[in-house]
Amino acid sequence: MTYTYRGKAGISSAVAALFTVVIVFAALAPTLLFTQSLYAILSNEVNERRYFEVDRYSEKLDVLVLQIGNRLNLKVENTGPISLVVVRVWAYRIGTGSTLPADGPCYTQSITLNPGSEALIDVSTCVQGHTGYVMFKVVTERGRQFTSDVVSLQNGMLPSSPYPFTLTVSIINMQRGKTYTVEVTPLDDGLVSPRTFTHKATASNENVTVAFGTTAGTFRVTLYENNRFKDLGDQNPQTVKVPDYTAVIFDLGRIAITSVNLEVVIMAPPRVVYGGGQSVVVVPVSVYVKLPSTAQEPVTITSVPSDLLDVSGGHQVSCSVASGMDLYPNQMTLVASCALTITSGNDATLRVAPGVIVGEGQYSGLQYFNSGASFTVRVSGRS
Amino acid sequence: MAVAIGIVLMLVSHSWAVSAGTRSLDQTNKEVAQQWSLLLVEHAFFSASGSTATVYVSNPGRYELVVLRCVVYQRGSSPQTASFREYGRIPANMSQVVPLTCPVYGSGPYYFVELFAIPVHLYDPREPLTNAQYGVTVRYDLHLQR
Repeated sequence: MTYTYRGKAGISSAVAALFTVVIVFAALAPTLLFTQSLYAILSNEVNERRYFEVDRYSEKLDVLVLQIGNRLNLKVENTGPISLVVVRVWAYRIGTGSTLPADGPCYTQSITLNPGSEALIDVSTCVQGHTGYVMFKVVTERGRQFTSDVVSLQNGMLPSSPYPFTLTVSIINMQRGKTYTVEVTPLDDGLVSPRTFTHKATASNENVTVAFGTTAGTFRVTLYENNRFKDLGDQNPQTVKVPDYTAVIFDLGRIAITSVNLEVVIMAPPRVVYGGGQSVVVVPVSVYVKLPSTAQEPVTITSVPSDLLDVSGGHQVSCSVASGMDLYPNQMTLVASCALTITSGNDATLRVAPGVIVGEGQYSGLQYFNSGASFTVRVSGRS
Repeated sequence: MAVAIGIVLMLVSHSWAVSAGTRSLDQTNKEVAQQWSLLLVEHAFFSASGSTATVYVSNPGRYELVVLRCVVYQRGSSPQTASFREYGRIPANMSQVVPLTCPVYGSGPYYFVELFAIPVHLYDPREPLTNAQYGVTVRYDLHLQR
């Protein structure tokens, strides 16, 4: 039998075509499908992480120190919208910060709290015999921490007086040589001891903090300078409801507090590879807000819009946002966890417009706004 | 001849596919691990001498972490450079709080505690810098009161 040249070429072409089909279906197609499923898994994990972060910031827990008989207890109440699990309770000395007991946490049993429910945690053993100022910190399973008020203990118990709470009053930037008097007056059936406190400033810009024992109730706190009412506008007198608020500050400084711009930091991968068979790539983006060190007061973040992040290049972005956090000067906090969906080979420029994130100064009530920020994610193709 | 070339090409493409798939899986695993690498400083305080601080950390994430860097430095100063070493392993899901003893640099009332950790399964004790890009850095404010 003889083959012509054209006949051999035809057989070779058929064999080549057969192997091409085998290569495509046995190697390339499974690789493509496998890669797609990996991206789906990653995308799913990114979303789960976002939901976790939103849940974490939704947790809210009130912590109250109570003396019941000869036992010291923490009353923890879940005032947030979701269930939480208390995993640890810390007790530590105000001043040194050292723990009670010295070798670690005070309580390590898990307690599940549904929204609106409360529990009592016996912490007597941790602070047994201790005298001094102590604070309790409750840690949840999602990693949030909630603290009690500072309490003064005597031999491991709240003082056997009718004053279970401590109201602290700070006078800042006193004038040398002048005498300052703080008067605390109950406005309802609350009790306070002592009612007045007097201090003579021995240095310029001296600060002092004094503590008053109180029961629950509403109190008016008034500051006098050389026995005359000190005019501080709406800062004097101040009305506080204990135990919701347990601190009063009189700032006598002549420096007016001014608002500063909140700095926005966008964190995302600087470079993303797109192509290679996948139609979309999802990358996590985090938006942080920083209070500059030049700020003169702590700021509470009051408003973060869910559409704070714009993206160019035809891509899509969706965010989960959080607000209500307190920021101290030079401190940074996460306000949005986002997922950027890359749908083409164009670079993605993420922008936060100025003025969309709002905070409120804790001393002045001034509004704080963010400055603009942008971040470019370079998208490179993969053949 | 055509059959031989075809078999060679098929084997080459198959091994490429397996290799690419393995790389993608490895990369995805690392990125997922990074997503769920969370570190929480529950409490910290200075030793009596002030030269070290005890830092209690826990892990609300899904993967056990190894802390490779823990320094306490004065707020406003540059973070101290310190070579990576294993300070401790932090089990996942908040199951345990681990005390770490960290060096303190500088003097003053306000400090940062700075920690760096990576998932244990990405950590190579012989090459600690391997996979360092998948680590997580945590800062905690610490106020010295004496």
